[in-house]
Amino acid sequence: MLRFVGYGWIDGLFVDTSFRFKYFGLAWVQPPGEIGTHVLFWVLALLALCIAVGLFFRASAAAFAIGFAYLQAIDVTNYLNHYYLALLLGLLLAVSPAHRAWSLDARRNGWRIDVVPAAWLWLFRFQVGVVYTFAGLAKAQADWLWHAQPLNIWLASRTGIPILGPLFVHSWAAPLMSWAGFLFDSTIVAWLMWPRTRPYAYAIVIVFHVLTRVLFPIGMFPVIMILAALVFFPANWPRGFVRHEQDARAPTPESTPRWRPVGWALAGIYCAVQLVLPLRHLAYGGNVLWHEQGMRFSWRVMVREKNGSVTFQVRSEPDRRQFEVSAHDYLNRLQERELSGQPDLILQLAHHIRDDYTRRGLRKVEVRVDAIASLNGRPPGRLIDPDVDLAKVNSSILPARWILPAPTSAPPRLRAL
Amino acid sequence: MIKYRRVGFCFPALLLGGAVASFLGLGCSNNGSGEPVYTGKTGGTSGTPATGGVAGFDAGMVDAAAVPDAETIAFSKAALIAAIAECTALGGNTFQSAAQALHDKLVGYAANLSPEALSQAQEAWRIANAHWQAAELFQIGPAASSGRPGGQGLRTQIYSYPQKARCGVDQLIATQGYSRTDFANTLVVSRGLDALEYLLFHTGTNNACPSTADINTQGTWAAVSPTVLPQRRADYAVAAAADVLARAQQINTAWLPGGANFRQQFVSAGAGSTLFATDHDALNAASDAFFYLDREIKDQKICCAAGSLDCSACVPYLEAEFARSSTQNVAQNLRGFRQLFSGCADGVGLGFDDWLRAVGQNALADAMNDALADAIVATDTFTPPLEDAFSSSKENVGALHTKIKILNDLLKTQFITALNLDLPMTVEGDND
Repeated sequence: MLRFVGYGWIDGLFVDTSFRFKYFGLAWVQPPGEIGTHVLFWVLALLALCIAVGLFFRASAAAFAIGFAYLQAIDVTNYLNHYYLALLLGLLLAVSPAHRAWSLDARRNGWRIDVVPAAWLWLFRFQVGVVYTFAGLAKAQADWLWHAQPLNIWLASRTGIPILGPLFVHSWAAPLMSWAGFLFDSTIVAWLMWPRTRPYAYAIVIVFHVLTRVLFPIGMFPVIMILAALVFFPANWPRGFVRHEQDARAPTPESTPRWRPVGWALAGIYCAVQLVLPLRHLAYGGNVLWHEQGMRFSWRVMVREKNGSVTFQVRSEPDRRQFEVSAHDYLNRLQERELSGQPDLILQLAHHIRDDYTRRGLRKVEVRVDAIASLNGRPPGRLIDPDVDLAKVNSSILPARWILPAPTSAPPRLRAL
Repeated sequence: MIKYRRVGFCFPALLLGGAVASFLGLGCSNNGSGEPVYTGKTGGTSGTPATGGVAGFDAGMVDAAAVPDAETIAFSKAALIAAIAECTALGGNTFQSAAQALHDKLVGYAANLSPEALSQAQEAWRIANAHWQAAELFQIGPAASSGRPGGQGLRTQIYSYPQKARCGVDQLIATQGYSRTDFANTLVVSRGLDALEYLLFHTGTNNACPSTADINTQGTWAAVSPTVLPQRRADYAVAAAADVLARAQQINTAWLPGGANFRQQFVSAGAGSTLFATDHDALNAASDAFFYLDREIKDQKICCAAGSLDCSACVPYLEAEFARSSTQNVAQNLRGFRQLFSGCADGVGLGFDDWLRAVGQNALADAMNDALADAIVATDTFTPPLEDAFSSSKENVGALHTKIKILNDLLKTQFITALNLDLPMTVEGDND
């Protein structure tokens, strides 16, 4: 939150636009206005502080989760995987008894309970494990493993950074890092789970995420994951730093009240959703990096470099008036960038343009789109069928036939300089 | 490795100096024998006939001697940054010279309101404007908007398109506001090259303000007799030209140690620069300038896409309806694009296409050079002028728009992907 305030991103990302992309089923969400948005950020920052110190913990976490979800629901183009993770962790914290010890709530209420059911720990482990595992599975595809893309593109542009940069000029650098990233993401949970390898695995976690922070503009994600991976250690590990040895023994989760059946049911549903959501792209077929159906909420972190050019053609059928409409007539630069490679956003804007021109007095407005995109450095291909009148296409989670198949050519290999 | 070949002798190059002329990118219309001169890089497929340029004068030609010996230069990002800095400086100096000449002509015209003096002043404006239109593609550093690295928004102080305010100019004529000491602080639309165009090429006695404006309701405009009006316009033009000249000097100074020393920041990217942590960051900032093609050229200046049956919405974007140089302005913009993309000397020299080739994207470099060459030829041969074409030749405008779009699509997709460049103003925020 403070980063948004400090860097002045709030207006650019949440305020300075006349049109906002909505999540499917959440079109009713309205932005709080400029002042409201700024206030919301400060409130969320305060709630985050309350969570950190364990003050009114559950209420703070619940309010944070709701407020953060609302903030994210304002505009799809602000979606990032680690924002989604922050939201999920906020939800889990809101229902968990994570404030039973070492919190202002515990001090305030004079709690002496410093154990929780082990299931809570495993639930957090599951959540963090899901992120890593699906991020690894997302890399199990030809572009990443065989063509080292998009890492090749990214590393080729980072040869100027100190120390590491000169290494990236070598042809082996991108493939090596691609495979290392794949192996890390897909196996690190196992290494963290095994006590004998855990310390070494965690050291690798730190190195890996520090590297990604140095190389890529991924904000707080490395910090979140470095801290979140601590859940794989025994529950008592922090006590070893601050208490005497006799107090550092592990809590005995079995001695605490067990979850009731409803708790198990809710946890089961939560876990099932977390397992199914990242796999839903399988129901659509094709290349999810191209059609993007099933892309969000699936932990496909840093697996595509995609840029597009989108122009809408508006036609009023009765008098056959025709206009070309640029996306930036309605969007800010950041929205336009996100739109250019995401077909569902293109459809949303097409509908908005239809409605806008209808309001201007045109009748039977048709909206077609000239949308091309380049995925991982390939020559640009047509993303959407230009003959389809998007004004007549309904937003849906069903497979979109108006999205054209992904180019089948291999991505190029770029020389790093 | 970049290769060049020398091109023929050209009078403007001799007149203006090779380096200066090279910035213009206007190209000789012929080599003395009536044959087009090609100045493309050898080995490529994209030699562009250096035809066209600005109607009324034949300025600009490459003096290949001004270009570093290509055989000795291998591509590097640092070399490209230095080339861009050099090209920007050449353009800035050239424009400053032209702005000085324009000012001098206007002083002469204001002292002697003869048709000949007006014609000379108009021609000086055309030359200065042609230089500036090429420089429009070099909105890097101080000339760029304040949101960009090193940006001071100085470009807008010289040329405010697409913002125009003819009424504001007329109000200052009526009130003689141009003679006030704070004239330099008036709205930019009242004192840049576009205001000068209106002052020099609009000779009617009417004004552009609505009937409800003060100068009309209070009789201020009516009090300016038709015999006084030309003198006021001339005096205003002198003041505006002086301001343009001062702004041009301001931009050039901002690149130098005596100013913001942006050049040092730029060329030391990744080696001590406080603005650019890496050389890639500096090139990323420079590449923002290409996107003038997307908004200003494609969506505003050309505006009317193929198949459009009604271009009336484009009329407000007409750039120079009084000088009727809107088409030539686009041609100059595209030549500025070529200087940045293909090399400063009319497509010769280090450019972003060399970067593409260096990373193995030869086909893309060729495709973009070809698309650029097509767009330049289409603009040079475009008829009728855009001032008329929006109403009378929509098909022609649509065809030109398509040519521009081909280049623009490559720019926005494969180009920025292959070189991992960011779209302008999208660096802020996190990713994934």
